[in-house]
Amino acid sequence: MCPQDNLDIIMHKITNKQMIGENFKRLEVQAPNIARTAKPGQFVMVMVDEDSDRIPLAVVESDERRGVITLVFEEVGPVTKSLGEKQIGSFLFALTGPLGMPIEVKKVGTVVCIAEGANTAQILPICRSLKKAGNKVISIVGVKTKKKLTLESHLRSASYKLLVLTEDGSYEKRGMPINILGKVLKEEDVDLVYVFGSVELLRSVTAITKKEKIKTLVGLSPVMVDGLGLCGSCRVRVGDREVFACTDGPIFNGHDVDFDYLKARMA
Amino acid sequence: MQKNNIPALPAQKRIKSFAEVSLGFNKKQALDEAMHCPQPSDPAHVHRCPLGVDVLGFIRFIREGKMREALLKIRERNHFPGVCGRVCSAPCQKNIYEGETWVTDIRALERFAFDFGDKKEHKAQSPKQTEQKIAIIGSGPAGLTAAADLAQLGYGVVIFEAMHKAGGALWYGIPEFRLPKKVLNSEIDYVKSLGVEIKLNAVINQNYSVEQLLSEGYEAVLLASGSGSPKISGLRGEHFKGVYLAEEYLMRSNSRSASLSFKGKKAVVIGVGNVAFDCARTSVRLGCDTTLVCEGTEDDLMMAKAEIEFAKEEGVKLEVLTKPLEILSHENHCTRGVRFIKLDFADPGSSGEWKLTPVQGSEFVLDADIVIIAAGHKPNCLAARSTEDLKVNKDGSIWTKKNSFATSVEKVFATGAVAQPGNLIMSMVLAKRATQEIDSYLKEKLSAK
Repeated sequence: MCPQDNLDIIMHKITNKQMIGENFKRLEVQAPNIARTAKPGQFVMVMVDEDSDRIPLAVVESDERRGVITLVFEEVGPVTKSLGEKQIGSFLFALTGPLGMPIEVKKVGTVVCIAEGANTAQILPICRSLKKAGNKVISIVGVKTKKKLTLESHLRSASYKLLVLTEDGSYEKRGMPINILGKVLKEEDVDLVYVFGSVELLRSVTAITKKEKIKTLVGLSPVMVDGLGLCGSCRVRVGDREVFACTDGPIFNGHDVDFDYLKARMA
Repeated sequence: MQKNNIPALPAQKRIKSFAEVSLGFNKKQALDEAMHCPQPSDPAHVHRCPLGVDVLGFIRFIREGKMREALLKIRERNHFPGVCGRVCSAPCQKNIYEGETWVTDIRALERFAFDFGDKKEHKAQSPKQTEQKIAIIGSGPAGLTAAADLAQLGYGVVIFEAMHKAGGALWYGIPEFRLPKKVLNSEIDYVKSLGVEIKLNAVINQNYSVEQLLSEGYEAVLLASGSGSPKISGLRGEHFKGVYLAEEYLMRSNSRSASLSFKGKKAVVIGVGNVAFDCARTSVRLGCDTTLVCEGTEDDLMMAKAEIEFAKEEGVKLEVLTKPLEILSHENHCTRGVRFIKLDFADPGSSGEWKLTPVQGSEFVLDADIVIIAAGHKPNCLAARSTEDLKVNKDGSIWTKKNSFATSVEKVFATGAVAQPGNLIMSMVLAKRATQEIDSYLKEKLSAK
């Protein structure tokens, strides 16, 4: 069914599409209400076609004037692949949001934002808003290889400093974000850390920052079905309490998160 | 005693598809059932529908072969005979037949009236619209009932539904084999034909709030977001891969999600009631060898006997008087089974109070690739969370004034399971009552102007 046939469905036209890295795509989608209200840290649930699964994607940019939002994703599973095949001018079946709790944007001093791989896009709106609020934002991005690096120029302008690490050494420094974190923490007086990535990355970063007593917020990405708190598939344990990442998060205090629990939910 | 057995798809056929199991009365059976329905003159023996449907009245029309009139009669009080004729708990059929030899299947007759009544002909007339607009949050049974009632009273009604389909729990919580989507859609089309606008994918939360709706000119906001949020049972190992909360499982299967493909797997469903049985019967259809485990006896399953029989016919194994202890996993966090202990009635203190007690040494493990937990649900307060000054009760439901549906915020009302947890029919009853309150509130305001 074409969305035009059903006036109940707000139409979400794809207005722009770009390849921004190996298997990475950037889409601009018409969604005036979301563009007007989305805040950093929030996400949308995307349904490509009527019979496809709903997937969560971060609102990377929102342009209120044009009424469009930007989504960035890596084509890995069947849903992201079919999303990547959508052409400019075609429509998404459904787009719901903005969802989740936004981050608190205020001046705290020096903030380190860490992300790896496909999670890179998630830190862009956070870096931007924190820099705008007067913080010294240091971004650390880790990718497998240079081809997988996305939004580099965007992140550079949204940060005081961007450190890129590639596992194969094909660009800038060889290594992973965790290898450089200790050095950054030694050189800078860091007040707050944001981390988005694999459970291993979140676990290792929070272990270091706990020792250093630095507040650390982690973005979790367990499986989500509705994104509205109706299914419980995104249940995670934070501070000995089971909560839903979709409505209570997806960003939590990293020192309270049960990473073993999370690991099983991400499988 | 029940004379007319409702025809059903043969078990072997139905486990291969999600087609509706109960086929409903055929014409001859329905007439026969209606003929035999006692029509008592004593009001104490009159069939009582909580919604106020004139049960004897519509059955009389069926007797006379006037299906259209029968359907119109039901719709006077109940906008959803197709839904209620299938999944209502049918309180009308209970408590009034003690000592009677004939139990009329009112629910089946209601369904018959819907299935055979001419739905096209009685298309609702578009009522005169007033200037006053009302926003309803949620398009479940409560939201739709209130919307239809308010539209009939002449208000402009807009429903904000966060999901991509209308119907709320009726859509994502009940499998096709009990409530076909075709039936639900036809009921929703009826509500729309009354002039109700349904906005899909429209989330009311901190970004687009109740306050904003009020500032946009809605005279009243009715929160009817239901109680669709799953409870966490706290069972050890609940986080392993392959463990689903019933709500997720049903939502995925109702969306025909390709990610649910379990051919040849072993499934264990823990819980009682319609939700647990729906999960078990869904698992069978997805190709699982399914066992349903509950702590009570078969009488504690909180289910209609017919539905239990359906489940058994379809191959669901029942393990009663059994309590789950923990979910076991492989090293990779994938579920491998559930450890249970048997329960039995015992009177350890010889106080005369027999209660269910674990039987020593009766522990056993059921192999399972997937485990589905139906631990009940709680009110979904996403819309309420972002509304300052909106009081919420301890159980998560929205606080309302005594004997009223008014919340702690002016112009904001709450009804259905989000305010008072209950079943389908109760939610609809509450919605009807809330409608009356909103109507008198708005009339009062209009006359005060």
